Amino acid sequence: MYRFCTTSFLVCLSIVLFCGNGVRAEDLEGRIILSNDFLKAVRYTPDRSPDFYWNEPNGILNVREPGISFADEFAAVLIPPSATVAPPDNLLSISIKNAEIEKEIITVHKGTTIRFRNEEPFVHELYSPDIPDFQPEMQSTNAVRQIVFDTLGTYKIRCRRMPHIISYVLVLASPFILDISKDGSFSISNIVPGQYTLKVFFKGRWIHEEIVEIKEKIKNVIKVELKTPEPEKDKKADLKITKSI
Amino acid sequence: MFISKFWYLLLATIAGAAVTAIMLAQEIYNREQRNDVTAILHKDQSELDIALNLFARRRLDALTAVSVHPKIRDNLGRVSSNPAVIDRTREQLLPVLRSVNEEIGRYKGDFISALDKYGKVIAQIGHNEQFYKHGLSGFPLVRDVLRGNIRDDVWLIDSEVFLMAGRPVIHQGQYVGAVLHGFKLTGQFAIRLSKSLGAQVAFFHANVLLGLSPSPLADKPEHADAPSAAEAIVSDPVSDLISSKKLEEKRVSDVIPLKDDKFYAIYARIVGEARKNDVMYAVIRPVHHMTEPWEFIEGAASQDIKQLPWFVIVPAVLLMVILGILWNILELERPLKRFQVKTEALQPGENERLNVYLWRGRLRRLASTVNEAIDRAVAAVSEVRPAKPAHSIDSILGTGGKEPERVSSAVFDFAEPGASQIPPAPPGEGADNIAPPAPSAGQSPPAAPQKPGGIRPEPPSKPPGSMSAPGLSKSPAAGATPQPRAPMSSQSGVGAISAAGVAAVSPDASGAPAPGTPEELEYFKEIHEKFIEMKKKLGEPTENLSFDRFKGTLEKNRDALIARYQCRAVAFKVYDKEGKASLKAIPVRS
Repeated sequence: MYRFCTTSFLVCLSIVLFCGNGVRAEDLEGRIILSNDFLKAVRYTPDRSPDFYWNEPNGILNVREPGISFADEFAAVLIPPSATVAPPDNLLSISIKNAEIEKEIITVHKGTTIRFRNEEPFVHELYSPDIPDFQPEMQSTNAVRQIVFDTLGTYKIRCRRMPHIISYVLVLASPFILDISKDGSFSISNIVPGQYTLKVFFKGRWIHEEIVEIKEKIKNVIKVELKTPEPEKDKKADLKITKSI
Repeated sequence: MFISKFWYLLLATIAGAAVTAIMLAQEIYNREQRNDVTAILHKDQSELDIALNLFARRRLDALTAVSVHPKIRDNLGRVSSNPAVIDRTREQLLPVLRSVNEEIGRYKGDFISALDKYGKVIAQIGHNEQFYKHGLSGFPLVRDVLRGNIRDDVWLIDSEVFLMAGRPVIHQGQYVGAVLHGFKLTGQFAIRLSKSLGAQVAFFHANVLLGLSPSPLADKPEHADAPSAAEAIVSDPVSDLISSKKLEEKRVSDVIPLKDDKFYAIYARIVGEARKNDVMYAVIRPVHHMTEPWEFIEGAASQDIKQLPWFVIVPAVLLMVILGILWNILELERPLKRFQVKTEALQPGENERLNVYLWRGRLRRLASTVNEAIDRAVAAVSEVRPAKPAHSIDSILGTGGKEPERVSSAVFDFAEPGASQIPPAPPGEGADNIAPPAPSAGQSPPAAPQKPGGIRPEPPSKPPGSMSAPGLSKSPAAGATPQPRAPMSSQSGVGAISAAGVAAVSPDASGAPAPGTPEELEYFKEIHEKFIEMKKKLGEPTENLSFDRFKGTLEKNRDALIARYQCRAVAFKVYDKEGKASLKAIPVRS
């Protein structure tokens, strides 16, 4: 009797959960594609620069083209139609090594604490020109510095000692931060169908924005083609549904 | 003294113009100095930039020996494929790096690093030699070098600035790593650059001086206070420059004055990443200012003095001096001397007073003053108020410049040719000094009507001796009895006049006889005789000079003077006026 009642309860619960008036969750897959113009613009190296007198090929072996790392240099987020503010993330630890901050783009949610740790013999002085409370402070080897990012927005992180160090902290409200892999592909699951805004971040700016409609009962796949590393002026819906379940 | 005054004005103008020119030249010189130094500093900055460029190239070239060294290539190739052997590789690389660094010679590095293909330091000699295994791939220099470029840069590492150079290491057709060369920026480097430029060079990071060369002209006294780093180069100018957008955009500042304009400096950001750390350099040069105009002379070399056109300057100066002396002689010395001669020639008689018309301006006034002084002296001696200064007949009569009515202008001439006025008698030679004619008993002066220009018949002549020519220098005394007149020639000055003059005074007054009296007629005859005598003496014609006509003229003038001045009588005096016989009318009050 006890076994019968338990089984019946579970069956009824399953029916309610999966067959009732509950919300369906869909998946989204996508890929970022860089156009030739984009690559040309990014790979351009001027002959003259205030940074050097000489910068030329060695004359023995071909110079390798500067590659673009999707994982390190791009960030993408899917913004839901309804205003949603995701809860803060767990403490995030970021290393300073190889004369740079470990990650060029750090995406977090509002209220997240980031711990910066110096793991090299050079002294650093991190600061953010966008955060008044984040002033330069000497950080010797193994020294740690924690900063709480409790305001939505985009923040630049610099080092007063090494001017080449630039990283960005994106404090986002949307819970759907896309994890971009090395080849530019991304995927996200359990998204409620609806109209979303997809935004792409590169080199300190949001350079692409488009409307993405997640539909039910189909495999949502999109291709995001970036034509220029500069922010695009046109923002139009560009949904490319390639497959249906 | 017109020409002299004009000459003085001309010389003063020339002197003023010369002073103005010198002061202007001083300002122009200072301005040109500033412009020249500004232009030279811009050139210096360009040359320094080129020197740094060449130095970077030479370091890159020197690094070639390191990048192609077989042991370095082998070791880096091994550790890039097998990171576990990093410690052993380091041990092998250290001595190689040291020896190669020594072989570089002049471009020896303050540190040399060998990196694997990921930018990790495998071995480093020199600065921070104890550190390795840390990565440098974040530096743009290292990223570019690992891709295959040869490149230079400037790094700020722990408050020290290094001029960097990097080369890739290629082994077996692959990039296996890189070598970095670091040259520390110090005062020695600043001195090296300063010698080639001939100017003072300074490197600094914000307000911290990294290196400063001494001024190449430090042994000269005017550059003894060449700017010291803290107070001049890296103080206020730098603070403003760092925040200057212009410097950020153009990398080079304008020329900035230092130390009260004694030095000029030009600043520029270093070429490299360290420019964002406010690492800059400055080139400084002194500016010579002429503070006093005569520094032209002090600064003139003997060669400059020799090249001056002395054959023009000396004669010109001498000519100006001579001309000045000449004008002085002509306009002052000579007239003064003539004045002195005329004054010394004064004597009783014909030359008793100075002729003021011989001079102009002050000398004329001086002559007039002398004449007045003589009159006062004479009056003081005679204790008689001097007669009023003789005026011309025309001024007395008020004829307004009209020529007085004369008997005949050819016969009876009172004034100078062309003038309508009788020159005034010398002051002091008043009527008191004129001895009136002795009255003749019972004789009354004939009442001859005054005919303009007419000649009156001669009155009966007086017995000779009764009308002796009165000496004009005599000073008649009031109420004195007639006395024999002393001849003119015997009169010797004012002292002798008074006595003789007293004896000749008319019975009713001292001086000229009263109008209408017989004495007056006698007096007129006496004047007539004297006038004819003077004319003969001077060689003038005396025809048609009848007494009646002469007398009529005298009476007319007498009446006019009496009417005007309310005087008692009028005395007349005959004298030589520049070769012509002339007559003076002098009112007599007492």
